[in-house]
Amino acid sequence: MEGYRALETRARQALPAWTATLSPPAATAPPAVPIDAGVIGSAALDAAAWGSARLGRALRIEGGSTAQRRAVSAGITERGGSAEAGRPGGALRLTWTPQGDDA
Amino acid sequence: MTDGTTLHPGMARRWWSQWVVGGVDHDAVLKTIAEDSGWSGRYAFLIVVSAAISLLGLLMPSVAVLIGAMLLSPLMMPIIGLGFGIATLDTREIRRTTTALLAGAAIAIALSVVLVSLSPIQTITSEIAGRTRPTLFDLLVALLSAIAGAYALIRGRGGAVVGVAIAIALMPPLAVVGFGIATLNWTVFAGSLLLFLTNAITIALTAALVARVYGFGAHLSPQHTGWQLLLFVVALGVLSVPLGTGLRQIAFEAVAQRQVRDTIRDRFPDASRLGQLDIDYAASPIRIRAMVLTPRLDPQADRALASDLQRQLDRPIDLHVDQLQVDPDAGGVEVAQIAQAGASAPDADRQQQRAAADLALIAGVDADQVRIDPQARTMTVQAAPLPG
Repeated sequence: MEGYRALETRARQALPAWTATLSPPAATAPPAVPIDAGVIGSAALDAAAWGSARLGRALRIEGGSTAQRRAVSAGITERGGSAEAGRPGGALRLTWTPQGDDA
Repeated sequence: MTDGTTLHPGMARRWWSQWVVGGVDHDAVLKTIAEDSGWSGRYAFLIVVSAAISLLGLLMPSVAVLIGAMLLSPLMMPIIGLGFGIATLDTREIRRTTTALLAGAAIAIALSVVLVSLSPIQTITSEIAGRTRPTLFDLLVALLSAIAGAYALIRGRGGAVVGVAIAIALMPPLAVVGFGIATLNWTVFAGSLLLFLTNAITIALTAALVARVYGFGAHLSPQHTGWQLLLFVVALGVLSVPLGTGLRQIAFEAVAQRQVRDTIRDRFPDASRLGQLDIDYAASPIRIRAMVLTPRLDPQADRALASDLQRQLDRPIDLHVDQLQVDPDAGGVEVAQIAQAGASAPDADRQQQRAAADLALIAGVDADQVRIDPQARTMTVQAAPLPG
């Protein structure tokens, strides 16, 4: 996801007279959300929100604790993406909501 | 030597010792070598002068100046003297010549470090770069030159030593070692030191072998001869390992450069031109950057070329081709750089097409997949999947 976002940045720099919007391929997996000393990576939230906005799809936050799922969901939404807290179980991770079930 | 069709080894040996070895004045040869192979004021002076000239020749860079330095360099005599010391197992001679050699090398390196530190020019010139990647060929040159040098000394053909000095070139690698230390460039330092050691060890051991063939050290036992042969084979064998790797790498780079060039050219139409090609073989994956002037932009080029070259070279490749569109109407000569397009104020439609082509190139898709809204000045495209 970060790679496609970097491509969009590059396109915008190359075409200053235009607003270039580049979306990732539909099959691109959501980014991993690393947690370092209890802090969720901001770059991952940025990339996730960007991907969600570009593809027009909602993300579902699975695993981790309820507080973590809520925090990540709020973080992605604040950044312009669309997200919902999912089920507990396993490590904290992002998945796409099934097509037609978008938030 | 021959009796009808049969060759008798005993007769050949007798012929060799009577007609070849018998004609050699062993004492005179050893005296000549002893005079020139030790430490002396003249030796130190010539080391200083030839090291300074070598360094200037490397920095200029000038092959003629370098050859002058090679001719002045007195390093060959202690090395050949060391060889004769090994051949006759004369420990005093071995110590004397080794001291002269080490002191000479240390002076040359130290002088080179000082001069490079003072020099405003510290660029790695072609002549410096050429002495940082020794290969098996360098070992062969040293081997053959040492045979010629030892022969010339034994048979009194002094003129041939000049050619030997040029072929081996002992002083320039030492100056490059000093350059590597002064600029803290360990690749340069290690490469040139390996070249110097290759030359010095190969010359000393080959000279020892030639000296034995010419009857020097005839008093030694067969065990001594066996040890000398073992030393020769083991030392050259050990040196061959890094030198062989160096040769293989250089051969790979020569083949790879041609394949990269051909593959990129074949990908683009006939009217296009490969403007620039940089390949960094040291990087992993191998980094290739090229610039192509082409009448038709090819958004898939990077991906297709990288996968093609990866297959051909059997190594991971990181490739990017900058494509500059050439106006085919202008005979394919004029480069239509997108940045310059605005300055010449072409019509809006053409500008828009170029911007779309640019975005398509970045996204890795065809230009017709870019959705354009000229009123809102927006362009939207879905990128092709990135490799990996």
